[in-house]
Amino acid sequence: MIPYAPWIVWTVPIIIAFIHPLLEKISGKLRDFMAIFAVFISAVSAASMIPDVIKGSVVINGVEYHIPYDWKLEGWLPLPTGSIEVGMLIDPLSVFMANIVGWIGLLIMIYSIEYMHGDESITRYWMLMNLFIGFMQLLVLADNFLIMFFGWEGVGFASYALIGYYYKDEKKYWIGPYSPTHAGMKAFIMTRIGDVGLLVSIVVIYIYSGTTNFLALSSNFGWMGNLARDGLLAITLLLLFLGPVGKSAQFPLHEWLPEAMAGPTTVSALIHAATMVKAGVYLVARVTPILYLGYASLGELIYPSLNTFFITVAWIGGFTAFLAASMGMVSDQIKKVLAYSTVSQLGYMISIIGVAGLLIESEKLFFEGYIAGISHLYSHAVFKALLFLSAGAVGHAIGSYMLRDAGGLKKYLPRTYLVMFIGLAALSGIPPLNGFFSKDGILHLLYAEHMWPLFILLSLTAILTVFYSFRLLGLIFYGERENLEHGHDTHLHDPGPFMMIPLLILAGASVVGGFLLPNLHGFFEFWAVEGLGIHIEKITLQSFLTSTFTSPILLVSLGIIIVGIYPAYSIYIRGALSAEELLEKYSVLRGIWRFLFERWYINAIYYKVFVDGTRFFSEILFKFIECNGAGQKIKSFYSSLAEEFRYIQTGYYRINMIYVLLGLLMIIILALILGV
Amino acid sequence: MVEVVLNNIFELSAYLSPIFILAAFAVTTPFINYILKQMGKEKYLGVWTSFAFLSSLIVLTISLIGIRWLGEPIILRLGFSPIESTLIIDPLGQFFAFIFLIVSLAAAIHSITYMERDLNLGSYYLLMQFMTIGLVGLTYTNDLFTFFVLWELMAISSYVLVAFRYHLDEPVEAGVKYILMSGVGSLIMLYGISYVYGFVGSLNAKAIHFGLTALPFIPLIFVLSLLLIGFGIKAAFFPFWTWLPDAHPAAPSPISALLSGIVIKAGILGIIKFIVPVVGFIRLELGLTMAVIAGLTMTVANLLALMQDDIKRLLAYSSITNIGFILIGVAAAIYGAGISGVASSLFHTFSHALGKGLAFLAVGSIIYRLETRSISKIEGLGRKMPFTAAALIIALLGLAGMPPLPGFWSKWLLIYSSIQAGLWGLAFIGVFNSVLAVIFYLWLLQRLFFAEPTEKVLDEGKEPPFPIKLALALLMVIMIIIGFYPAPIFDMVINAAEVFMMLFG
Amino acid sequence: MIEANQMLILTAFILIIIGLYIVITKRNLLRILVGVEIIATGVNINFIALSLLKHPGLLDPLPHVLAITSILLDGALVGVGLAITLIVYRKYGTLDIDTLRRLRW
Repeated sequence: MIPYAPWIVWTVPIIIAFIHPLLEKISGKLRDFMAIFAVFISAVSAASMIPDVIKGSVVINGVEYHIPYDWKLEGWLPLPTGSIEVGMLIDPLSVFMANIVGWIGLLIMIYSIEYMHGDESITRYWMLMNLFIGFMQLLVLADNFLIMFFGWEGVGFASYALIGYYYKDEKKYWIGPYSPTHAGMKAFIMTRIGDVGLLVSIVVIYIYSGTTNFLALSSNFGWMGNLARDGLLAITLLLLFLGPVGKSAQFPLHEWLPEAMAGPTTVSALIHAATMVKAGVYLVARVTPILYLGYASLGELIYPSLNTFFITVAWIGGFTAFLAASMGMVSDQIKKVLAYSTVSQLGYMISIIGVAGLLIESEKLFFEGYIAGISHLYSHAVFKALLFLSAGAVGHAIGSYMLRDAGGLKKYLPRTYLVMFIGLAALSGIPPLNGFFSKDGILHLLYAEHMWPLFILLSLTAILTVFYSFRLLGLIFYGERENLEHGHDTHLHDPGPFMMIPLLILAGASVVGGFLLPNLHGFFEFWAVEGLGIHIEKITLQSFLTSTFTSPILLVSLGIIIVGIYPAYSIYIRGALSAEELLEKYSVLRGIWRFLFERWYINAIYYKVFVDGTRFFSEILFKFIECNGAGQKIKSFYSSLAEEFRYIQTGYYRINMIYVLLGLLMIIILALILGV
Repeated sequence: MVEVVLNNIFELSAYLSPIFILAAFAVTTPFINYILKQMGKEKYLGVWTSFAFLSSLIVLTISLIGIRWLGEPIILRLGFSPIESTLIIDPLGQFFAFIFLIVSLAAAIHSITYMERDLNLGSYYLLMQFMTIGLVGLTYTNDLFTFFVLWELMAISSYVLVAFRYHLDEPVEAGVKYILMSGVGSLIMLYGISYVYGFVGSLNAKAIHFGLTALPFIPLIFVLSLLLIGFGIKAAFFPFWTWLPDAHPAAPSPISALLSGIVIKAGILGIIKFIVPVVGFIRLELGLTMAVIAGLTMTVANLLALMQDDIKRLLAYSSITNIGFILIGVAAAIYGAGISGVASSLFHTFSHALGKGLAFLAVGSIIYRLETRSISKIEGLGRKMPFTAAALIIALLGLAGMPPLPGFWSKWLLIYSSIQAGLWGLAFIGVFNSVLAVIFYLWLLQRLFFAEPTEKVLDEGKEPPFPIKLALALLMVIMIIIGFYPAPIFDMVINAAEVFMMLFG
Repeated sequence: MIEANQMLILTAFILIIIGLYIVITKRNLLRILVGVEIIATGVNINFIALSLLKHPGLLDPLPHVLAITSILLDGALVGVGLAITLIVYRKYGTLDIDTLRRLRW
């Protein structure tokens, strides 16, 4: 390990982020170099921790410590109710996540050199990207909930600023009816709703345990027992889960991610595919072992609460997977399809970790489910980054992300076609790409444990996934090239080396990634044995492949691929059937299409209830409180809500005095009602 | 508890040195003013005032450390029974005084340049000093009589300061409303005090605690709600807030910083000193009343704040929201959380005083250069006045509870105390409101930093002169340090709350 | 039989109600200031009355001191109030408080 690696990982990008304005004054080249160099340092430091984790011990200042090791700065916040420290945790999960963030971040930063070339506010871009990576590393390496929450808020903030990066709101960056700034705001609000739950539950856990430290929480279970005795355990855990629901865009807070695509594509790739949205999965994966250990020592006392929690997690994940995949089938923008697909795949991960929790009674199955979730996280990070970046290459070439502007690009962008094909095939789970192995692991566990409802739901989702993947492929690369009059076609070409190399690396990783899954398993083994007390067999590549290709689930996987590809192939690639004609012919299909295109009307309902509802409410208010004239209006997300409220402020002295008397009355009445 | 009977003015001045220093400076201010006026350098009176606050702050810090070391409060008796006045030197009061003086110091430094174009600077600084004397004095009071006198000293100075620029329309109108509303509020409070006297026979805090707790429910509610209105009008919580969005923006910016940062905290101080001990142990239901008020205050003010284009008015509404946050702690303290409730109120008082003070001073710097308060006219400010804009944003994010700034810690403590008291709903409303506030602050941030600069900003935007920068930097540095290393403030507020609760325990 | 001090308490209460009524209904600034003064008078009377009730036959100096102080402070309040009223009259040419409605939201 590089000395102080867990600290370097996150401090270097944050520090560099703040000196970017200074670097810009020296030279633009230096600034670009430093931005990438910071991420490189971060990635290398993260990688340097891998051998220690495999070995199971880490040497710090000449002393050898066991993994998981908690590197604390004592005395930061000694509270009488239980002190809180800044600390970095070195354990398989955090090091694994730090590497994903670091290396994929590095590739995306390299890609950005060309992609963002010539952008007028590139300093802001580098600054925010570095800031984001720093906070994300802080999030995954933090040793306690509070510091993790710092990172959590930090990435939310950076993501908000990056989604609204094109703040001038040119029409071409709009996603649907929403401008980039609106989208950023929406994303921030929706994830903040999740944060409300998260913060409250952290405080509750702190009240009961006197600590927020992960290791302390997993070594002393009094807090869990006390919470369970007060009947608060389930609700606390569900509140905690609200954070991941917001951050990982799970139902019912999934509506922000599609609009979040308004930012630059690199941002979508880094934040909304590979890293930040994984924070929710990470948190669930972080909490699950703690709960497992709690169950191991407290048993029946907390079992009902844990069951409630894990059933919710598994089903919210499963349902989101299906919901988002179905929306992805009809979407009309490349990035939006990928966004839905991200939501859907995140649903898979969360669902399978929930399933692992449901299998908590059997240590082996618990671990298998847990690793399945982690494996899928890893595969998805690779192929989704690849997909977004290749979508960026397509967008770079045609100047638009609308599917109707694409089509027939295969002969113009052959290399982009190749990498995107690999990405989509991995997403669909075609063997032997990494998506196949990780998805197979998920379905295998569900199949083996006879969890039929979830199995069927997730298999159906897999069919939809295959369908929309190949629909996307067909719509972008096959068919006739139209819209020649735009004149874009003259410079339709594959991107240059800075964009192409990361794409090729990611494509290569997608191809070989599946065969590395046994190594990932091995990465977690030591921790499982020492930390969780689970006795597991070592998996070699050979046994892994044998078990994968001899299990009956292989047939299911192949069936899924065939069922999914066939309609997509005949409609969008071969062009034998026309989607428009089909829709015209069958009114049922049309209805379904409409329903899916309107996103199950969930978005409309949200706007109806929260925006129009307040308008209705304020009209009533309006009738009672006189007003005239209007001040300057500000368009903000909540403007309609706030606009009418201000008529309370009438400016009449008399009315103010009446408020005082009413207030007196209110206090007395309240006290009487509540007191007697 | 250490009790000291004071016999002469020298002993008194030794114990109350922060106030006496302020008073000494205030008494000499007119002469200094006369001299400076003869020299034609009237604006240097601000330096004199800053010096007054600074020296008082230094003495206070020493006394703060001493009290922390002593571990128990000192009660001073002066005069003779029964019209003796008792003063108390306890960590709670000292903590408030500490906040008051820091913000006053920054405001005084800021005034040096901000007020340089105004006339009557002598009375301006004198009133500012009187207001600070009133505020700092309030923190030492242990009985309602002294409290009321100092309260009025502070209030009347603030009336004049709001209407200080009487040649303009806005301050006059705001001043009229402020004086009429606040004056009536003070009188209602006095009416309440008269009944406290009627029921208890004394106005000493401890006597009030024992006397009122023995009262039947209805008279108790009557007395307390009268007191609550008095404090409430000053602290501007629901539904008494109506004067605040007029008065605070109308005053000169340093005064706005004082009004929003610390003057409204006097109401909170009153509530903590005289209402929490009375009801905090027996009438838990009143905690729910406070909780309802807190929730309404936050939500309504937040919704109103979202619509403002006038940046000072926006900040004024945000002050009301934060008063709601502070009341969460009060409600929790009454409802059973005790120490952690009071401590969370104190911490949020600290972070809001500094944050709002800084925000108003930063806006003052914008007004000094651009002479506008409209948000739409100061877009893209970050390009031309990065320091000012950064100060404003740090202040706002600090208020919104963005880690790692003081606001996050105080909100953490507020949620802690409200959940500890079992007020789950209030905790949720609180966090939800901070979400709502963040939305607006982020939107503001976006316009300040990312938007294209308006012509006005391009033409006139320039960093403010040194004194304004110094004032901003003072508060900003404290906020950032406390944000990263909040342990000292945690220690202070928890100790203050413990000692305070021990007084009545 | 109502005793004198109870009478006084009632009087004080009525004075305060009258004051509040004036403050709320009147539009003329001067009248409102008079209303404020009536409230102040009521409060002071209440103080003295309660001191009689609390310690019958004994003169407790505390309420008297407080009442005198309060009268003093009211003087200051009204002084400032009248000064502002004067400015309002010069500026707007009227004392109607409802014309002062520029600051609304």
